[in-house]
This record gives sequence, C-alpha cells and structure tokens, in this order.
Amino acid sequence: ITVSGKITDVQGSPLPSVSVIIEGTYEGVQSDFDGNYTLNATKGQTLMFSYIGMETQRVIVGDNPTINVTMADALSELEEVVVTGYSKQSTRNITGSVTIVKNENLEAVSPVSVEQSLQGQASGVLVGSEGGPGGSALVRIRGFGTVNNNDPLYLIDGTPTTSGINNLNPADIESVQILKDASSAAIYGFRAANGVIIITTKGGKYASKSKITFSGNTGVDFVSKSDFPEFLTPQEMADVIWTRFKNDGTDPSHPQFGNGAQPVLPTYLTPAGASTADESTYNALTNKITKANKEGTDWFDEYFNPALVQDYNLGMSGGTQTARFNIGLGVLQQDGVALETYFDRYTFRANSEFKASDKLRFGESFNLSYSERVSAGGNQNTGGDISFIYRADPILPVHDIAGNYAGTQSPGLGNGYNSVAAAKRNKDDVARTSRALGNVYAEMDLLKGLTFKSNIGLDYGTYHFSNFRGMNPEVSEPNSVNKLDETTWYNLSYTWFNTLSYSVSLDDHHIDALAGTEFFKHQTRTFNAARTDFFTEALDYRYLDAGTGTSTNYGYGGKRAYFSAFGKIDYNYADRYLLSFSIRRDATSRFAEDNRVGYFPSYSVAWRLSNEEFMKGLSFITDLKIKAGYGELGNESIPEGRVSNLYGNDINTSNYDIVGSNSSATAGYNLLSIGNQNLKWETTTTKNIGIDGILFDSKLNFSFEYYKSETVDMLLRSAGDITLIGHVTAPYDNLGSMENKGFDFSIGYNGTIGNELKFNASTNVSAYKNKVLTLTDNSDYFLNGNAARETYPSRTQAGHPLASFHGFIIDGIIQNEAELDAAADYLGKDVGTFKYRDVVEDGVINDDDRTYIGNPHPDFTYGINLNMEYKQFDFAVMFQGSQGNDIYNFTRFFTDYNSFPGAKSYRYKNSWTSSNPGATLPKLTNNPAQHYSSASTDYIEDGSYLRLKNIQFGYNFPKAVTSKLNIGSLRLFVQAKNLITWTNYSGLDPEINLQRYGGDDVNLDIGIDRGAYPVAKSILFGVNLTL
Amino acid sequence: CENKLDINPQGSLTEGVIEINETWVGQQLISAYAMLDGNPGYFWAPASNWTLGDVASDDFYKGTTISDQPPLNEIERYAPNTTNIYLIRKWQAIYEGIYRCNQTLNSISMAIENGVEESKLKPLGAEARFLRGHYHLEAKKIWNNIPYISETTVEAVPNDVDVWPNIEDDLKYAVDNLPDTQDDAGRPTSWVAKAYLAKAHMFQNDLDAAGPILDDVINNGPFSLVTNYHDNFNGEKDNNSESVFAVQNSVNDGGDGYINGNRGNRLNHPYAADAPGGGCCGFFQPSQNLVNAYKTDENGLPYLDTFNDEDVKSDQGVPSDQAFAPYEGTLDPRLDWTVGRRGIEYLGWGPMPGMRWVRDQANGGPYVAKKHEVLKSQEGTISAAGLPQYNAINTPLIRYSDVLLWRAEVHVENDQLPQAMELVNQVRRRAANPNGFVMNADGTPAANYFIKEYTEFPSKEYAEKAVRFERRLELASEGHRFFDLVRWGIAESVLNAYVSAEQDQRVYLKGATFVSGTNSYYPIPLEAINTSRGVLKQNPGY
Repeated sequence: ITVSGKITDVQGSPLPSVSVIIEGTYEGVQSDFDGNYTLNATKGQTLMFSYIGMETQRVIVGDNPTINVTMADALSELEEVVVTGYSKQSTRNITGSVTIVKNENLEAVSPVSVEQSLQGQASGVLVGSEGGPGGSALVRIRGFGTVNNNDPLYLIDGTPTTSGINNLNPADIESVQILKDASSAAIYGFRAANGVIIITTKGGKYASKSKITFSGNTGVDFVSKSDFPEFLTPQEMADVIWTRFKNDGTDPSHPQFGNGAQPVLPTYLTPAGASTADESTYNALTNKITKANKEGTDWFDEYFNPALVQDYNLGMSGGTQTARFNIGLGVLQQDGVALETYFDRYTFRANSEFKASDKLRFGESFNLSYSERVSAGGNQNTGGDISFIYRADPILPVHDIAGNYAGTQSPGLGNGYNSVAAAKRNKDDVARTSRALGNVYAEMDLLKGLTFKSNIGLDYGTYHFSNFRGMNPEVSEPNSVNKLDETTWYNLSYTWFNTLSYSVSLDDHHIDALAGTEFFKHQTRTFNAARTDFFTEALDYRYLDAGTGTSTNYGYGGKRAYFSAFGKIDYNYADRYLLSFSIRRDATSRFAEDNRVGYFPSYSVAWRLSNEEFMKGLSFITDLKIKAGYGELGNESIPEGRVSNLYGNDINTSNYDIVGSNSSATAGYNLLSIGNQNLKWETTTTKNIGIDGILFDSKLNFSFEYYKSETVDMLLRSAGDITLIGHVTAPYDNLGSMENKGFDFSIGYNGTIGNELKFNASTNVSAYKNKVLTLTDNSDYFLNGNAARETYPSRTQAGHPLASFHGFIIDGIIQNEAELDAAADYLGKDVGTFKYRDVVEDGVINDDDRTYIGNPHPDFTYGINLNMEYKQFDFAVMFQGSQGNDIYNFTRFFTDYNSFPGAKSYRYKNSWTSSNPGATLPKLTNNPAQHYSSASTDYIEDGSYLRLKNIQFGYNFPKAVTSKLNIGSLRLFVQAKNLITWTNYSGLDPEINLQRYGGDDVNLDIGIDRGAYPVAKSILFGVNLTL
Repeated sequence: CENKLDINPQGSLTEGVIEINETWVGQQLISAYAMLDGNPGYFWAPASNWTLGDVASDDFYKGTTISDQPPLNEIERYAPNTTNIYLIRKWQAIYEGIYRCNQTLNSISMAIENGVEESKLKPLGAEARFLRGHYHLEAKKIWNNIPYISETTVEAVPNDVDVWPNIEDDLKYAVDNLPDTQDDAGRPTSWVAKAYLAKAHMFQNDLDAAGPILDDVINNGPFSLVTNYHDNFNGEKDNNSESVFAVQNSVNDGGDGYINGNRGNRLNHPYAADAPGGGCCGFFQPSQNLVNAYKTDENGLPYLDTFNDEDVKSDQGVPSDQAFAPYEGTLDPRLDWTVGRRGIEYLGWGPMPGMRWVRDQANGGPYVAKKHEVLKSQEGTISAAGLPQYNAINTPLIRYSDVLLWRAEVHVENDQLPQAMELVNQVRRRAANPNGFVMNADGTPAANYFIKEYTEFPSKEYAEKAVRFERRLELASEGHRFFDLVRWGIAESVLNAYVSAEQDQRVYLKGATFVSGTNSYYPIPLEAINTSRGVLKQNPGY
C-alpha cells in the first residue's frame, strides 16, 4: 500500500529531510519541506523514521495508509548520527573506537574550555591542565605514541587545528567525537596519529521556530588554605639555622639573627638584624626600613586569593524551509586565584546553511574570538612567581614600613623575588589573541546517493604580548634597567577538501563510499622587539618609542603544506556484518621529494551478534557488537627544514669582534643544523578489539576495548656525537620505536525509581602502558627532559616509559658507624647522611649508580558520573581520578634542603639526629655532602588522586510558571567544581603535567612540580533560559 | 597541488644558495673565532677557565652560597661527576670551535675547486688551523686523553692516541703561514702562533723545544710589558703590546648588547647593586691562601715557603657598618688589582665595603675578584648599557709576562739561574712601578706596597720555587693555576695542603682530597662517551 503522512516535532512544526526507511531493507524516502512523505510498503513492515538529533520512531504498517509521526529529541544514543570522517555515520554502525561527548555532558560541568570538559568524561582520554585561567591543556588519547608531538588533531566543523582550543567557547559545541583508534582516524591520515577530536558546533534546524537561549553563571574560584604547604615559623627557621652551625662545630652567625648562642629574631630586617631604627629617616631608595614579621608571613595566602568568574552565553537559532542558522555569543571573565591573573574571552559564532535547490546546499560556520590573558609569571618555572613563594622567607613582610615592597634586599634571606610585587607589576602584561576560524562549503547531490562536497576552511590567529619588566629594588639581585618587550605573531592556515560520497543499498547489502582530496597550507611569522630604559613605568608610557636604551629584536617564521588523497568504504550486510576499509595517501612538505608520500591504510570489522537469529531469544540484549580494527597512521611533527643542512648567523654565537673595537661584532656564519634527505614518515600501527553492548531495554550500555599500538621509524634527533659536531643540531632520523597498550572501559545505566526519579550512572576507566622500545641503535642513548635547576629528573630511554624519572635511590639514612662503614663511599658521607644505593656495586657512589626511580604515567585514570532528575529537580555529580602515577616534587629542593635561603618545611626541621633516627632528611649542616642536589627518590611522591570534579544541583521551573512568563524554560542551578581532592601528594595540587605546552619535545618532561599553578575550586550559581 | 610542497626552509641558508667564495670562507672563519668565548656554553664554558683553572686551584673559591651551582662545588672538591655541566659544556664548546675550523678548511678546498686563488685563502686557512690548535690544546690540558678531530674526520676517533703531534702540526702550519702582522687586532700573527707552539711544548714538559721558540718571540717578536700592570685588565687598553692573544669581547655592538661581552664571567661580580656587575651573583671569590701569597718580606720579596703561616687580616665576620682597619703589613701591589678587599679602592667604585658586597661571607670568604671588572668611569661603555654583568674587557689567553715566565722556567731547568732571575725581575720591575699602584682617592697608595727584585737565586730549587711563585702572583685569576700545578707535578701536595689549611673556614672543603693521576685531569663527559658509542674511553679513576 501507499503510505503517507506528516512528520512534525513536539512543537508541531513540520520536519523536512527526515529519513523514512522500511526496516530490514534500504528502501526509503525523505520528508519534504512540509514534513510530508509518501512511500510504498507492505502491511506488517516497520517504518523507521530517523533524523539527526532526534529519537528514531518505528511504526508498523497497518491498515491505515496515513501515518503521522511526532519526533522527539533524541534521548538514547542508540541511533545517534555523528561525524566521524568527512562524513556522518550512525553511532551504532561504527566499527572503530569512537567516544561521543554530547553537549549536555559538556554543559553539566560548565566548562570554560573544551579540554576541561572532556576530563573524566571519555574513556581513553587523559586530560591534564596547565592551570591558571586561559591555560593550555594536555590531551592524550590512548597514551603517548611518540617522543614528538602527541597532541590530537582537532577538527572544528571540518577545519583542522592542533592548538589554541581555549579560544573556542564550549557553549557553542553541539557534540564532540573522539576518534581513538587508527581504523576510525585513518581517514584523516598522518595528522590523526594521536587521535582526532571532532568538534561540531551548534547548527539551526530547517523549518523551525526561532529560539533564543541564554545561560549564565557566576561564581568564585579559590584555593583552600588547608592546601597550602606548611612552613616553619621565623623562630623555628632561626633555630634550624643555628642547629646547622652547631652540627658543623662552627660558631653560628647570621646577618639577621646575630652571632650569639641562641638566634635572636630582629625587630628590623633593614637595617639588618637591628632591634631599633629611626623610622623617621626612612627613604625608599637610600634608607629603606623593613620590619621583621616575627609571626611569619603566609606567602601562599598573600599570593592566592578568591577570584570572580562570570560566563554568559546567548544563542539564537531558527530556520525556514530553505535556510537555517545558529548564532552564539559568549563572554567569559575569569579571574585567577593567583594574584592579578585573568582570562577574558569574547566569542561570536554564526553557522548557517542554505538550500539553493533540492540538490544544492551552501553553508558556513564561523567563529571569531578575542581573548586577553595575564598569566602567572613563570608557571612551572623554578624562577617563576609560584616557585618563589616556596623560596620566600616567612620573616619577610610583603611591605616595608612605608608600604613599599619588602624583599631579599634585606640580607641573609636569599635571592628570591617578592612574588606579590612581581604579580602586581605583571598585571598589565596582557597577551591578546584574536582568532577567526571557519569554513564555507557547497554540497551537491549529483545522483541518487551520490553527493559532492567542497569545503574551504580558514584559521587565522594573531597574538600580541606586551611584557614590561619594571625595576624591583626590593630584591637582592634587582634589575638594573627596566625593559619593554613586545611579541607578536600571526598564523594562517588554509584547508581545502573535496569529497565525493556515495551510498547504495541492494537488498541486505549497504555500501557507503567516500573519496576525496585535501590540500593544506600553513604559514606563521613571529616578531619581537624590546627596548630598555623607560623614564617612567606608567602604563601610558609603555611603548617602544619611549625607551631610550638598548634596542633588540628578533623574528622568524615557517611555512608548510601537505596534499592528501583518501578513500573509504563501509559495507554493511544485513545490519550484522560491518566492514570498513580506508586508505589515505599523504604528501608533506617536511620531507624531501622522494620520501614525501606515505600510504596509510586501515581495516575494521564488526559483527552485530544481537541481530543474529540465535540471539533473538535473548530479549535483554538490545544491541551487541564485537569489533576489531587495524590501522596505520603517520607522523611528521618535527621542525620544518630538517631535510637540509641549515647555515646561518646566530647573533649569540656566530659573531666576533675581530677588529678589537669593544663595540662592534663582525658577523659570522656557521652550520646550525644538519639535515637528512632520507627522512620519512614515522608510522604508528594500532590493533584493537572490543565489544559494545546495550542491554536491558537500553538501560545498560557498556563498551570495552583493548588496544596495542606500535610506533616505528620514530623521528628523533639522532645521538649526535658532540665531539664531532659540537653544538650543531644533530640530524633528525627515523630511529626509534615505542609501544602503547591498554584498555578503555565504560559502563552506564539509565534507570528510574518509581515514576518520578530518573537517574543515569556511568563510569569509565582507562589504562595504558607506554614503553620506549628503541631510541637509535645505541641503547645508551637517552633524551633528557627539561632541567630542574642543575638536574634532569626525566629521562627517555629504550626499555622504559617515556619521560621516566631518573636519579639516585636513597635507602634511608646512615644511622651509626657500622652502617657508615658498610655504605658505599661518596664525599661527605657520614653518620646522618643519605645512604645511597650502590647500584653498580663498586663501593663508590657516582653517576653510574643513578637509575630509573619513578614513572609519571598513571596505572589507570577514571571518571564516575551520576545524574538524577526528580520532578523539577536535577542533580549531577562527577568524580575523576588518576591512580599510580608518580610526581617528582621539585619544590622540595627549596623547602627540604639547604639550598637557597627561604621557607623550609617541617620535614627539614625534623631532619636526622641520633635521637630522631626515623627522619627522612639528612642531618642539618651548612656543608651538605656530595650528591645532595642530585635527582633522587627523595623527590618522588605518589601522585594518585580522586577529585570531586563537579557537583551540581538544579531546579527547572514548571511549565505553569514558564508559560505565564511566556518563556520556553527556565532553570537555576548551583554548582561546585573540584571541591574535594583526596590525595597523599604533599604539594599544592596533584595535577602536574607538562612544563611547557608548546614546542616539539614537551612530552619528555611529565609530572615534575616546579611550582605549578593549582587547579582552583569553585562555587557558582547559574541560569539557563530558553525563550 | 603536490608541486606546492617544495617549500624552502624559512630564514636559514641552505647549501644551494651559498656561493662558496672568499667571503663565505671569511664568514665561516669568524664563527670559528666566535667560539673562543665559550658561547653557547654560557658561564659553564668560560674562556677564562675561572672554573676548571682557578676555583679548582688554591687561588679561588666558588663563592656565593653553598647551594648555588652545586656542580661547581664538586669541581672545587675534586669530585666531579661525569655528567658535570661545567665539563659537558666546556667539551662541547671546544669541539664546536674545532668543528667550525674544520668547516672553514673544507670550504677553502671547495672554494679552490671553484676557482678562487689559493693564495687569497691561505692566510685564512692558517688562522683556522691556529684556532684548531688552540682548541685542542685547551681540551688536552683539561682532559689529557682527547680525540683529535680534523677536517676529514667523519667518525668517532679513539682518545687513546697522543694528539700532541697533531696540535703541533696545526700550530707549526700557523707559524709558517700566518703573516707577521695583521690588520685586525683579534687575528693571530705568526708570533702568536709561535707563543702557542711554545705553550704546547711547555705542557709536554719539553722545555728544550720551548726554549728557542720563546727566545725568538722575546728577542724578535713585537711584544713588550706595558708600564702599568692594570692596563692588562682595562678594556680601554685591550690589545696592548703585552697581549699576545686574547678573546675579543664586545658590548653595545648592535646585538643583544651583551652576548659577546664576556659571558663566561657574568656570575662573577660583587653582590651589590652599587658594584660593577649590578649585583650578580657573587661567584669567584679569592682564597685567603691567595691573598696571603702577596705578603712581602723586609726585602720586598714573597714568603716562598711560609706565606700561609699567618693570614693577611680580613674583615671576615665584620659587618660593613662596623669599623675595620685593613692589614698594615707589606704587600705586593698586584694583590689589589687581583683581589677586592675591604677598605681598598675598587676601580673607582669607592673603597670595597666588605660584607655588603659579598653574597655569603660565611661560605665564600671576605674577598671578591677584580681583574675582569670595569672602572666606574667605563660603566655603560666598556660594560653593556643596562646589563652591567657583561663587559668588553678582553679575556687574556697568553700575556707577554706569561711568555717571560715560561722562558724563566726553561732557564731554571737548564741551570741558567741568573737569566731566570732577570726574567722574573723584569716582571716584578713593572709591578713595582709606583704609578701603577692602586691609589686612594687622595692619591696615596691604598696599602703598604713594598715589592723589590730578587738579588739572587741561590739554588735551582729556590729558583724553581721563585719562578712558580711569580707565575701565581702575576697571573692569578687568569685561569692558569690548576693547570700549572698539574704541569709541574705538584698539584697533590699543594692542593691537599691548601684544603687542610682552609677547611676550618671553608667547611665545605672538609673531606676533599686531590688524588694525583685521577684528579690531574677531569672526567670525559659521559655524554661525549655515550654519543661516541663507546669509542671514547673514560679517564682513569672515574
């Protein structure tokens, strides 16, 4: 019979383009602009009505030829259709590993950045944050695949980017798809070796009523005082200094505490150690007077303060029969908990699509953003503001008697900065980033099932940073001159892809095929200029022209491009057997012509058991699928130009005053970097197997996957023989291999209790094990992470996980003469000093005895989500955690050792004495033994934590109220983020990730706390309003 | 689109665009000179060797606080790790210099193939070989067992082969092919090469070979002692007649202002904003032992054996606002050009105020160094404007007094004691010039200076002691002392005696022991061994 009808949404608006298919076949039609459809079907057949984002309806054809359908927004993910690779795919038919995070999951955490919103939400995705407002994030999908860049590829409405996602407003996001395995990501080729994060922004719907939404929240970020490290009081500090002298058998003396038998806390620090001073003679420059703070200054409390956060978003969407649009405006003003830090972001987005005809569509998506950021000086840097609050002696007040800054200019208190002063001076050092990111496309249906799409994407960003280094006369090593330093860069990339997609069904056979090409071009240029000697430090005067001293400048840039062709076939037999094959050919400008091209195939299969006859009896199974995949992906993320020998003039090291003039240098040229014509693709091969299931009437869903990947031909800077090439950068070569294996698991349950209480509980667990298999053919070769002062605690070497901790093993403290004789030798060895493990057993402790002492990678990470709805109330809670990762707590170099004068910990006070044999730190002394400053197990701590990431309580006003107010819906909520963290880590915050978030070798240094910006707690109130 | 993938490196030269001609060779050679200052090894690879040559000797302490740059404490205590950054950076800087020399030599061959006249390139090649000799000589005296890298070396070379013949070959080639004069003050002449060749012989204890070359340099060369001792350390008087070869430092040269400005010494300034260097960072403090060496007896001569029995009075433990009267005994005037001590005029910056200029007197003692500092009147001209840590005072590598005292050593060896004495006296005569003393603001000498010439070297033993003592007094803080002690074979006795005398004040020296053999040379950096894939072997004892 001929069946016809009208399809509408819950508001009664007609829904065009709904696909109507006779289930079990691939026969079907789409609804027209008025939501009408007509097709031929047999009685007893089932019609399936599906539309993106809406719950699929099934109606059995009976006697009535008119079947009208009302479609509701999708609640189940069963039928979801998502973008997975230049095309859309029903989630139930995905054979690869894809995690989908929907906008309601994103909204539930009120994130201010996209990456933050993924933390704890998606299995297989490790997210860590830089800390501080507007900071970067570390996103790692299934571990670390290479020593090079491990950042995933982000695709924002099809436009690729790998950085700066914090310019994007999470409120604009419709959904995020994470392609985790090679078989699903392979279509994106080499850029996808670290996984792909596909971000689809919100679009409008055809023939829909205009809708206006508003959401806003405001709250307070803070760090609890109970998280601050505890330090000795000034009196205790003075006492331990005296103990040091006494242990050494020398007479105590200190510029502030005198030279008596007992230390005396002075009344004044400047004049040094004075008990009296004539305060009327104060002069800021020539006669500074600073009082001692005998109670002790809590520098953490001075530096960290509650901060206001406001986030407002306005959305407008709607559509006619032939056009649809969605516009979003966002304002974020986030002050940082660290003094004077902030991030303000303004975003504008417009998505629209137009139907020129039945067969031709044009569309665009456009994001504009502008942000201002003031970050903490030197985050994760041993010379940064946060590191310096560990080094600030508590006896120092923040201000002198006249309200000017006090500092280490008062002698005997080290060479630290006054971090409060530094932050206040830094408050106008704003980094301004503007970004335009968008795409336009045309899509044409050529034949039935055959569609052509052409898409041009553009990503343009500019940055300007004005950094003024003012005079800091209060410190012991003051700047001799003030300086303005301005940096600006732009980068522009352009992506053009064309695809032809074809979809055909024949009986039980269904084929989707895609072929395409993509061209990408990128260029960047950086410019910096600086001048010294500014007459005044007033903000209005901070322009380069106003400086009268030395001028310096630098600039550099880069260009790169790639061209790719790709194809993909998905085959579905009777909704039971799913096969997928893709291949991509990538050619990159980073390699020489002969080695430029790489081919990256992938295969995957899935078997939907639940559709087999023998499973039909198991009615509790809604959907059950087992799947396996294999894929190869490339990586070329090394600096540009590594094919050729690069010569140049390095102003630092190439010039020489050959004429002996004292003030001119003749330019020299030398080899800077050795090239390698033979560089070729680094390849990661991944295999995975998994099972996805939906059980008990769609109430329970789970997914488990095991994967193993191996990267070969890893691009590495070779172990250049420093004797042969000195400082010249050694050539890159394809020299290493690395392995990752692990599993992702997630399980969720949707249920109801009684009629009114609906709940959803889910958890996910991810684990990976990383191991470097080879690094060059020289097994002694290793790559250092970044220095922590004079030590390199991270080392990457074959046989060990990436960026493992390396140093001496300390087996406690030498307790007595017998142990002293037994302990291996080193200079200064004594009763009360460390007992280092003699790893090579030669009786002497030297560098050969250093070994691997810790692993920054977690055993597993996990997230737990619980959402409930009861009548007008909703409640959400989320926990997120990491288990088994080590942290190298370098801040203890300052607080636990006789390093620089400054704040000391209670561990230090409880150092070893014969009556305190259980101490962890050696006997107090002014004369520390050899190796005391070396990397060792003493710095290693368990970094496991469990965090109450989010807890939210909301109230939806009932229809009765909203209709009176003439609004669609209104919800109020209160939320707390990061409220409680359970951890044994002694530092400020256990979320310690990279030291730097840009550059090529950032992954060689993981989990070292050099004074990291903590993740703030926050409490906020918000509103969601729909008109 | 694929042909759009041919993208050249941006901002760098590649071989295709470089024309190998005389200009390019000259520019490569400049870069080989540029490594003389040790950059990019920073203060870890100073040209002056204040680290490995002075702090490791009895002349200097590391200074500053105990915890600042602990790897340097290890060097001072004769217990360096094989990963010590001061050794890695020094090694790398030296071999970078050698690499650049070799690149220059290879470019010369290519330029000749390209038709450039060989005669135009020959002097440049001789300069490159001179520099290659210099760099290897530096490495040789620091590590002893080193590989020699030539322009044809492409693979790791073992370090168990005697490289002295190679070093001599380079220096001889330079002697034969360098001009006798050069327009640019920074370039070596054949006379400079001869002095280097003599130095190579001195370090092989082949004094017979050194003698005639030194005679040639002294009798026929262009060098002479300058009238005032301090002119050797005055940036405005760089490249005077006494400077045989020096690193040409420059500041305010259009670059970053400081990069070529004696970076190796950037940490070595008094710890006060009103001192040269602007307050950073209190490293490199003279030892009490060195100061004591400058005491003179009633004959105006040093106490060769007993100089350390009694200390020159210091202001240790005396705050700057408490009165202090300096030592009143007789002193060699060179002391106060070498050491900054309380109450003595410091290069126009006023009398050195004692504790206030010292970062941590309990750790580093009461003195500060002086030779590498600018006069107050040169602030911003000889020192970098706004960055006073950097200055343009040349770093002397060989001074003429160095040459004279080598020759004196040869004379002693050959029992020519009067001739040895005359050379020592020549050096002392200049030091004794009263116009060259440190003066108070009122024009009177800043201390009780009393220095006379030797009247007699009664024995060979005495002469040897006197010549060696004179070297110490004349050349202190110029990076030679440790290497001289090793060369003379007396490092163990001198340094262990020094440690046992100093360790009561400098507690961190407790337990330090110099072991002859092992500590005579530094460990080969582990990184060099690893990256050579085991071709390089570690020095004995490490």
